Amino acid sequence: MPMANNIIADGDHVIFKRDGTCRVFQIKPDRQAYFEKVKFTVNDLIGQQFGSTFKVDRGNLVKLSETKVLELEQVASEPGADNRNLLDSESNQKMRLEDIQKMKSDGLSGEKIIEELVENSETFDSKTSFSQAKYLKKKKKKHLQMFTVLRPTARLVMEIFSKEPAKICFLRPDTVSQILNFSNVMYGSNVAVVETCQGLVLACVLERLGGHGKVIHIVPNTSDTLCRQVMNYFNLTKDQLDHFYSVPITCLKVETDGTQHKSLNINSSTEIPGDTLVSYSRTELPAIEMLPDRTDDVNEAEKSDIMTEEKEAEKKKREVKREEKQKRQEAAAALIQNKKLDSLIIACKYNPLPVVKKLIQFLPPSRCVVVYCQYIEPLVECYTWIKEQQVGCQLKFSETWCRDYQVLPNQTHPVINMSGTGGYLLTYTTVSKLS
Amino acid sequence: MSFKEYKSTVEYGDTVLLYIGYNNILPLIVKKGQTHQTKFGALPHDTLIGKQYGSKIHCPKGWIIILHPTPEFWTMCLPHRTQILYSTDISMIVFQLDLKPGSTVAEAGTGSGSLSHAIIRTILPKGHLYTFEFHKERYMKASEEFIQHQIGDYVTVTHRDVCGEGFQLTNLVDAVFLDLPRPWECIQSAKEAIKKEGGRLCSFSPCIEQVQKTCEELTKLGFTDITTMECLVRNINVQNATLQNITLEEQTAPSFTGDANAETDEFKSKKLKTENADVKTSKKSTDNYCFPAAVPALTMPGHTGFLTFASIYMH
Ligand SMILES: C[S@@+](CC[C@H](N)C(=O)[O-])C[C@H]1O[C@@H](n2cnc3c(N)ncnc32)[C@H](O)[C@@H]1O
Repeated sequence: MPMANNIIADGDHVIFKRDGTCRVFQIKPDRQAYFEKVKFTVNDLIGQQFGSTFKVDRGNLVKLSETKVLELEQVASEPGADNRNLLDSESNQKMRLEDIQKMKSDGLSGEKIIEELVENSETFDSKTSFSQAKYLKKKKKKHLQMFTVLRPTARLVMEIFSKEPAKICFLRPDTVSQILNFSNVMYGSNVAVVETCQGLVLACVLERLGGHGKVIHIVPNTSDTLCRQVMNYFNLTKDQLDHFYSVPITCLKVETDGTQHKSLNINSSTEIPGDTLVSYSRTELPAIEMLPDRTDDVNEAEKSDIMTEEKEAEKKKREVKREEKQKRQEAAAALIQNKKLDSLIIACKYNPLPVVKKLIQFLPPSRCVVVYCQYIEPLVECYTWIKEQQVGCQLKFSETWCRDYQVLPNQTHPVINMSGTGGYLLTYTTVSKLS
Repeated sequence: MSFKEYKSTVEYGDTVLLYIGYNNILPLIVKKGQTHQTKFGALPHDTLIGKQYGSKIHCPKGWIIILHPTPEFWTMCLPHRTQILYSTDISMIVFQLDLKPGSTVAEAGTGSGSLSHAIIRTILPKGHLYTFEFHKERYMKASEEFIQHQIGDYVTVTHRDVCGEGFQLTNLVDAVFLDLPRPWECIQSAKEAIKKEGGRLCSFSPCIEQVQKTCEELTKLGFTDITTMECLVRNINVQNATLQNITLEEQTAPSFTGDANAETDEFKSKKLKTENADVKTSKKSTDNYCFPAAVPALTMPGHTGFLTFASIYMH
């Protein structure tokens, strides 16, 4: 019995996954998707279950049965097979690249192409059965346009960025996982986050709050547009987003008289362009275009003809929205200034030490601070300062090393390429000043 | 006291952590009238009552800090009844299993409960952990600890051999975690425990032969996206390092000053300094290159175990 929330719906962000490649895509009727060099219409995905596998046949999606998927996935393996008579495999293929491309543009199915390839291979018959299977598998991978549609999770979203980590400050899954655990983020936590990872850290924290507590994005008071694109990928509900706040760092003032902050003198002209709550409207999804080889054409004409009277209403709506935002900013600032934070996470392209110095004043004792930086030097400074000032204990400075393995019968070894760095991490626990 | 939420001050019955120094933390259950002997002398429990977590406590021969418990601290100081998992692997496991509040998880074996605490922290209050342990005493100790830590509502500890008798859970969990000597023997049962719409599985094994058998079984049973990885933490220390600058040119040759145009300003001033300095004092610290250095630990754990992850989609 499929559960209702396991069904792909219009407007959902979904992950297309094929072997090591992941791509995020927002489902809209009649939208064209382009994934792994194949184009197709996503219409047929609506109403399907997450976790389904499809192949593309002449631009259409065909759902594959579970047994078919398994059959295609199985790896035939027989290590150390004899291949002394095998020459450079490509030269044994009578079909040329152009021929294959022509078959594809003629709309021939992947199976048919593979059949042709086998027929035109001079060496296929002389291969051991192991090599034949391996050859077939290789070709299937290449020509059967198979992929699985998954519900986005923090783990899968990290995979999207594995080939372009610069966009998320070189965070790796192992680093993100440690940020989330060492900050002790849990259901109901109040978490302050300084990040420039396109909203990735914010989304991961929001997910771990389970719809309770608060995530407060602390932002610089500049006119730079802040990108929180990645938050959209998580299909966060309105309910979850209600727990998301943002506040300019300049609005935070250290209390001097010991009284509670009720009303705050937040400069109401403090306006941060691009700093609106995440919304699902297509026009607010600029960063999605930054992902490589995407050619999803939206109906641009639709956006352009907005009626003038609608414009008036729009203006009013914006005004209400602005006020709402102002209120939320004040609420978030008050929470911070009343020392109600449980965790502080910093993972950004700003110089961390001044940010650390300012923000840790607002943390109560015995709370977790995690500072991530792609470079080691700024954290050396933070480490030295925290140690000298004795503002915390169990100060830990570390980096992680993570290596993937290929595991196959008699062919088990570390994967040839590995990531050289996932950045550096500083963690500690706040203490009250010695009286 | 509790691992489920923060509180600000210490009460009787709380499990507090005594921070004695870096990597030196002791758990303590605060009881009326009792006294704890620390390396800084006697600490009467009663003095802790009402104290704010994170404050310094004076003992006869020094001070300690009382800290609020977290799963990460607990992993550092829990009583070892078995080998345990540490926070680097634990973080990766929780992340790669897609855990979040509301997730249901099956775990075997419970061992010392190091991982269990981190799982429970992440999935509470609506999620649930079903953890299995076939060693009677470990099973009982773990059950007691969860209750003491006020997370008993989120976990069911079962005394059972999961390889022999299986998990006996059907279409119930989002994720399964295995830390067993022979994990492949219960993967069939783990698969049955996973929800119909799919889920994740992780197995931790120190030896590659175990990993091989596990992966074979996973493939056979229709699991996909099987990945195996190893994750190590390198701790870094910051030290003031000093390296000596050595003289690179002959100092006595007077003809060298003749060609002034060929010298850079920097070089001129350097040379001036050297010329003015007494030969004996030239080894002063100004001649040394001093800098804050990030120094990795000289030795570190080079292996904990291999983490194998896999997905199963609708089954
Ligand atoms: C290495 S320990 C687990 C440590 C745990 N992950 C932690 O972090 O504290 C392995 C545990 O599995 C238990 N165990 C081994 N085989 C088992 C089986 N077939 N069924 C249930 N428990 C088993 C052992 O008694 C032992 O306590």
